[in-house]
Amino acid sequence: MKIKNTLINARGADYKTLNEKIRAAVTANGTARITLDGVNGQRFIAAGLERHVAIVVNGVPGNDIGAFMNGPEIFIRANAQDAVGNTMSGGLLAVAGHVSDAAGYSMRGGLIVIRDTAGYRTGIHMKEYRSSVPTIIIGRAARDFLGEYMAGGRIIIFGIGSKIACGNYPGTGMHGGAIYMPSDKLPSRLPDGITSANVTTADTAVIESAAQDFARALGITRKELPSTKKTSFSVIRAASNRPYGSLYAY
Amino acid sequence: MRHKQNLVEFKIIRDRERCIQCEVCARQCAFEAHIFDADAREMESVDALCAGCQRCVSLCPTRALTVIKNPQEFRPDSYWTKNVLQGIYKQADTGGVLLSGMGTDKIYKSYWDRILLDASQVTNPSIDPLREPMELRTYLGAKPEKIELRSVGKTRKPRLAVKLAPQLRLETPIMFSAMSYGAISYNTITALARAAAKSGTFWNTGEGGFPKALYEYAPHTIVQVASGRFGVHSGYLNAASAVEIKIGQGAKPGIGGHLPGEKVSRLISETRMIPEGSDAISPAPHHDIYSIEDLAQLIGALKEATRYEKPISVKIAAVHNAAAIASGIVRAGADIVAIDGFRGGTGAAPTRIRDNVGIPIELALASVDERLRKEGIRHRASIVAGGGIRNSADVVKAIALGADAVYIATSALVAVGCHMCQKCYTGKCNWGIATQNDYLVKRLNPDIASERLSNLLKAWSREIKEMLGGMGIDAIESLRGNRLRLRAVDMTDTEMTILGIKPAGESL
Repeated sequence: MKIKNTLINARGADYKTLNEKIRAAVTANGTARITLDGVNGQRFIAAGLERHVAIVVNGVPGNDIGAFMNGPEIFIRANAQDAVGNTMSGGLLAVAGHVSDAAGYSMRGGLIVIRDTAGYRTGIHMKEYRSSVPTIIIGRAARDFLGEYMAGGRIIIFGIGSKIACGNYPGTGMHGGAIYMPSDKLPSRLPDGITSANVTTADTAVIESAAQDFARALGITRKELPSTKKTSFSVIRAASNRPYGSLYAY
Repeated sequence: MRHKQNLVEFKIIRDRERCIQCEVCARQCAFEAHIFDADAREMESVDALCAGCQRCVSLCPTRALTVIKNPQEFRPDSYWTKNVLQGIYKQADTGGVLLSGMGTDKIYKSYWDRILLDASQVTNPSIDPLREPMELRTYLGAKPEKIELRSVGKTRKPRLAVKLAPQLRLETPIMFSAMSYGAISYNTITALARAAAKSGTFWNTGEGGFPKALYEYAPHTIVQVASGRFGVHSGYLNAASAVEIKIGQGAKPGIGGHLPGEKVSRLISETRMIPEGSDAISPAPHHDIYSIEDLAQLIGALKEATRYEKPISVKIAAVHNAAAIASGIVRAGADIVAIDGFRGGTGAAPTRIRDNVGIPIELALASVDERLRKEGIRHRASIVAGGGIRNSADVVKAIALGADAVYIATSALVAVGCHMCQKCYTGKCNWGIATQNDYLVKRLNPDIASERLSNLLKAWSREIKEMLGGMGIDAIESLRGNRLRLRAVDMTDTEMTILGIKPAGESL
């Protein structure tokens, strides 16, 4: 069966109009792929969409692309701005470039793939529940406070072409989930309340599968990413799932 | 090492002649203040463990128990009060932040109790609500700047030409304020949901998620999006009638909340979508909101995700700058501004914050309404006031000060059995309200509780109609912001200026 492709010209359209067109295309019978041309800062693209549909974004989307979404696979052929995949539940967001701050805020499921660098507080409040394990994979590096208040899910950083994989204080307030990065690229300052350790076999399998997902999502080969056999990875986890348990006088 | 200070707040008095050693008190007390001494074949009580919740007193079949304030714990001092000393002892023992449940119990001036209502005499006669129709129906949401009509068909029937923003339809201007499943029990939220549906109003999930089993009450449900984003997903947003962004809460302005891991049971974990036993941490700010522009972004994202079909509310705590903030909230695109006064309750708040941060709802409400009117944007959002609304007179006064509707929570809990012992944060609520312990949860029958809540709303609505009728008003709309019908006693000029009301004795 031929995949029906819908082309939407986003030039000059405000976000409301653009999203209406996207929703109309998604509801139209048979649409499996939407291409947005000339995107230039429109916010909330595909917010709350719950269909399995592929969306190719040509241009730089505005904040909150894929917010609350559950199902779409979005491929951004440029950089993206703040809060990519804000509170998303499922689907894929692949960015062939950098993203700004708070990508994957409170993400509950699905996958975000960022080819280059992610801004501050990436993966803040990520949560997992049973089989719903959100994952963020970053090619190059993230800024400070990666995985702040992280309660579940996984963040994997490969540190390609960067001396450090993330800025200072990753996992501040963390009480669940795991952050992986090459051991020689850990930042100099780590917060209290976390543990940093060498990866186990199970962890390596997670990183390997992330490398494959990353390559597939961005259409590159697995070889362009560090080998899990040759590179030593570390994992950051919460020291306790009750980080503030002793704060109060009962 | 020094002994831990014994904090004995209450004294349990047992009438030995009446006590029949039936052990009801022991079974009822989750704080374990009563035990059966098998050797002596007598019931014993430990004053130090008593929370003062009156459960045992209420259920003792022979009325053998009395719980009173412990009279001789500390030497009386009007400055270094018993509460002050207890706080210091407890913190010296534990090094911890003091916690409290419910709203502040400190003595602050109540403005409700210094505001009096008008009534008609001779001229503009009062209306008999028993015979005349009285309109309490209230619509919450953005209202159009002006109404345009067009004529349709042969009969030239008038039809609205303006597209209305989504509205919440309330049969009475009282809603149940946000209380999360986690802070309160499943039976309690079930009762709130049922009563809201029966009475034609709304309950609010708080940030604890919306259990699937209660989706049948979705047409009467407001869901919250708070900083922790617990249980927030597309289905959750779209199931509800409105979405409320929680910025702040009257009991603890400026800070977040921690649901301790031991309260995250299987069911709680399902609705919050986090693993069992894990802390549920809602930090103070939303980490994507640092400005009005950022707030506009979250409002926009929620409107997009719900296809502009639902009103979006923004709830803030009443603070010094509430009026300017509310103006920003309206300009950010909110359909409802909810303001929570400093007397608002909570399942757990640091005591010093609960008792010292925020301002009275009366003043915040009046200044917000005034500010929005002056700026010509009052119609763009409804105002909901909450935080210490105790009865129908408070509701009437709130509406006259500019609210479209009110939120009640403490009153609702009292209606279903709460005795205000302020120990919600322990999770040991003997009345089955603020607990996740199955044995205790069962004590609250949702059928009876929802009936009591509906009764409360019915009674208040009836009283509101009586007060309206007395003022010669037959629709709640005509009371909104009608401050001429209010008078002040025992207030300073400045307070009256802020409230926009005249002193008692001064006529129109």
